[in-house]
Formats: sequence, C-alpha cells, structure tokens
Amino acid sequence: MNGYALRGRVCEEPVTEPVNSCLRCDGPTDVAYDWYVLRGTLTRAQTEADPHSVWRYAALLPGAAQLDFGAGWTPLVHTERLSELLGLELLLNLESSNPTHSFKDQLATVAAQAAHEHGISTLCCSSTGNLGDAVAAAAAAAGLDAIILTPRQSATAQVEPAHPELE
Amino acid sequence: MISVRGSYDQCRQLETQLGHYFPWGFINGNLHPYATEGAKTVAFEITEQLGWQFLDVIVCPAASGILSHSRSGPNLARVHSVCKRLHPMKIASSPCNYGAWEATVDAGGFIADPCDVLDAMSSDGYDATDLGSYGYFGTGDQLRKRLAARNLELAGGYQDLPFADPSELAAALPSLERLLDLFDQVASGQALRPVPTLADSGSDSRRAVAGSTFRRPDNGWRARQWNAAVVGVERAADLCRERGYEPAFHHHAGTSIETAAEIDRLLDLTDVGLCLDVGHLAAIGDDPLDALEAWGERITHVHIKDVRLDAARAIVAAGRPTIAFWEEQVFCPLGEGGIDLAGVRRGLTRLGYDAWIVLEQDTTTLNQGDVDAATVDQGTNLAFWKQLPA
Repeated sequence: MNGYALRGRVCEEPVTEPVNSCLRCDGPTDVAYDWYVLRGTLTRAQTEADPHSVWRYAALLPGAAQLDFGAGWTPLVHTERLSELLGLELLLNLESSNPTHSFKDQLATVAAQAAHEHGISTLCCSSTGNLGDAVAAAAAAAGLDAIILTPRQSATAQVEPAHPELE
Repeated sequence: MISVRGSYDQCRQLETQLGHYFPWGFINGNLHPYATEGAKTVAFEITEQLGWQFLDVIVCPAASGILSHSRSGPNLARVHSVCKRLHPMKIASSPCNYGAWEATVDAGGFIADPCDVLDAMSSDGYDATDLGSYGYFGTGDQLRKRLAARNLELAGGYQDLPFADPSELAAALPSLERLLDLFDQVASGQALRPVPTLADSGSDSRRAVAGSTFRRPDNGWRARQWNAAVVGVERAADLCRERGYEPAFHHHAGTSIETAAEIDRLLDLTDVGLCLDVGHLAAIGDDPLDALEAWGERITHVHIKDVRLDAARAIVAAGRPTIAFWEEQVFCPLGEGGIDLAGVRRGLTRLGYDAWIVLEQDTTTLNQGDVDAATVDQGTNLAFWKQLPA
C-alpha cells in the first residue's frame, strides 16, 4: 500500500473517515494517490512479481493487502471460433471464476478491508444477487457482519432470505 | 439477508435510512470510493494479461462495469506507459461559443465571465472544453480546480505557429511549450489526452480574401515555403510527442492550410493527424463528407460546426476578407445550416472515431444578454448532436 487519501471530489481536501459525502464540499469522495511517489516506485516487474489476486495492484489500491478470499486474477481467454466468425480478435475475461462468480468480489474485498481498517463491524448493501453474495463472502472472510437488502422479486432461485420480509 | 417488499430503489432508500441510525459500512455509501477502486482491478488484470496494452474496444455487460474502466485507464496511463486510449467519443464545448476567443479576449472589451461559461458547459452536460485563448479560463492550479469542480476535462488547445518561416517559428515555439506545460498541470490524469491543435499563423494576404486560393492560386505557399513548413510541422509535432501529446493540424480560414487541396498536400508531406473542422471546410466550399472519405484515419480530432452555406458562398464569391464569416455569423446553431451533420456523424462512426468532438458555434458577445443567448444555443447544440443516430 502506498500513500493514499480520501478526498472530496470538489474541494479536493482530505477526508479522514469514510462518509457518504464530503462534509466540507458535499461532493462525493474519491481515493487519491500520490502519483509523484508512484511514478518513481511502481514498476511492471514489481507488479508482475506480486500475488495473483486483487492485491497484485496493492500500490494502486487503498488499504493493506490483508483480506484475501481469492478474488481477482481471472483468466482472459481467446475465442477461436467466435473471433473467426466475427472477423476480429475477441477475448473473454472470465469473471465467473471468482469465488462468488462475479467481479463484485474484487470491489467487496477492497471495501471490506477498508471497513476493517476504519473499525466498522457491519457491512450493508442493497443487491439483487451478485453484490450481496460478494459482500457476504468478504464480510465473512474479514470477520464482519453483513446485512444484505434484497427486493422481494429477486428472492427466488438466486437468493434465499434468512429473515422474514420487511415492509 | 433481509427481503424487502419493494423495488431495488426502495432497498436503497432503506439503506440510506439505516445509515442515519447505525455506524455501518455501506458499499454504495461511505465505502463506495473503496469499492470503485476494487472494481478497477478488473481492467488492470486484462491490461496486464495483454502485456500492458489497452484494448481497442471493451464490451462490459455488468451494471457497474464502467466504473472499473473509467478509473483504471487513467491510473495505468499515469504510472505505466500504456499506449492505446480507452474512452469512447467525448463531447467538448469551447469558449469561442460564448464570444471569448483570441481577438475578443485581447481587445479588452466586454467578455463573458469564465466561471459562468464553465458552469454552463458543465450543467449542459459537456464532458470537456477547449482551452480557448491561453489564460482566459485561468492557468495552473486555478484552472485545474475550476475544471475538476465542474467535472470537465480539457479537450485541446489551439496554437498557431508561423511554420513556413524557420526563424519566426523558432521564436514562437516557446508558446507551444507553454501550452504543453499547461496541459501537464491541468490534464495529467486524463485517459483521453488533450490535443495540441496546431495551425498556421496565416497572413494578411490570406485573410484579405476568404478561400483565396480559389480566386488567386498564387496566394498559397510556394515550394520553398512548403519545404520549410513541412520541417516546421515535424519540429512542432516532435516537441508535442516528446511531452506525451499527439498533435492534430487544424486547417483554418485565413491561413495557408485552408483548402482541401492544401490539406491534402500537408497530409501527404507530414505524418500529423488532422483536426477536421467541418465549418471551416464547408465555409470555403469544400465538402466535409468528401473529407471524411478522403482523409479517414488521419482525422484525429474533430470540430463540429454548422454553416449558412448561402451566406458563406456569397462571401467567398465576392472575395471578401475571412473576418466576414464571423461578422455575418455564418456559423449558426447546429442543424440550422447546410452541413449534413447526420452524414458527418455516420461517417465518424464508420471510421471508428473515438476521440474528442468539439461542438462550436463561433460568436461574438457584446453584453450579458448575448452570453445568455449563446448559452441557450450551446445546450441546444449538444442535444442536437446527441440525437443524431450514431
């Protein structure tokens, strides 16, 4: 992990804790990096030597490379027949090979790690499927609680609620 | 897991309400910036597995997939030298649309407030602006903050240079370096880089007669001047490329690269891309659709205008000076003139054009009322361009 900071997108001033919006400018918050340092230190060789997971890119991510439940480094496959048929080189990136079968695992990993570092003990999200799966898995791996809100129409084959319906 | 009797939006509403009571981490709320950072690694992986090359096209059938790509491209471009651009066509405005351009800014009379102009572009939904007259929008940190606060990028900056005269060119090149310095300060994080739009400085004799080589073939560059200009353009292009910017050459009324024949010759003799300005081309009687066909992939930057063709034709036929194009307001709201803009847009799609589109309607503003009217036009112009079938 390199120097990073949360910043208000509009005021560009630092934000110390995760918030819905910057208390100074009311704008959204972004993770900002020290590009000057990164340009001098980050190399392809170093990245290529790092583990095959989300944290391979730890220098370009917020948080420490600790929480790892196997998200990331999904294969890129060449499609021979489709490429020939379409007359172009078509590659597929198989995000389905993530632990909960979607790229939401990568974002849940980084979000759960950040929550852990900021002393947050419960993760919450609304989801019709993929995000909820990923957040639940990341929370379990990080020892956090997860609360997933899902619209009733989605609670079919994809998900089975553990609690009675709320209105 | 909690099943909510309601829609996804109502789940989000409940989530927000829960946030008022519990110190939790919300993936779509306080943790969102972190989640976005995680998502971008998808594109890092793809890029790395391709030997650190960006793809030509990314098809992303995932709800928030765009996030992973809009964050990752600029990140990688910043720390690694990754070569291909990633973004689809982006639409920019220009301060000349609000009456602020070199001549009017320098004249010192009424000029539209730069922050008002940026606010208008941003609220209309433009992605970016052209720089316009150097310093008009500010420079350095001030400009960077002004653009960032409005979520605007920088599409390019115009730099005319006396290409055919080596000693004058040498004296003028620092102004190009100044422009590139400003790009570095303001736009270093952009995935789609700002384009130095180079143009010939023109001459009084060219400006005296619009489209003048039609009427006075001897008014163009002689062989000796062409030779010098080719060397000059290469020199300026090298300077841009050394700094990581790919220049485009802007043909322009009143300069020595004005007619289709002159553009043809320049493209033959140099390797720079063309900033196709459909307005300047149509105003002197050349056809933008032919231009798309003829210059195809050499077109790396595009200025879209519409032109009252009858008025323009009358000016060229009468041998009036190029300034008459502006005095007679031949550049009109998009869709009100005679250029087949639907054809232009289709042509760009066919070429796979994926860089900046700068929508322009050069105008002069004498007071705030004129600026307000221009602001309305710019909103309409963007809507017009967007509704054209791709």
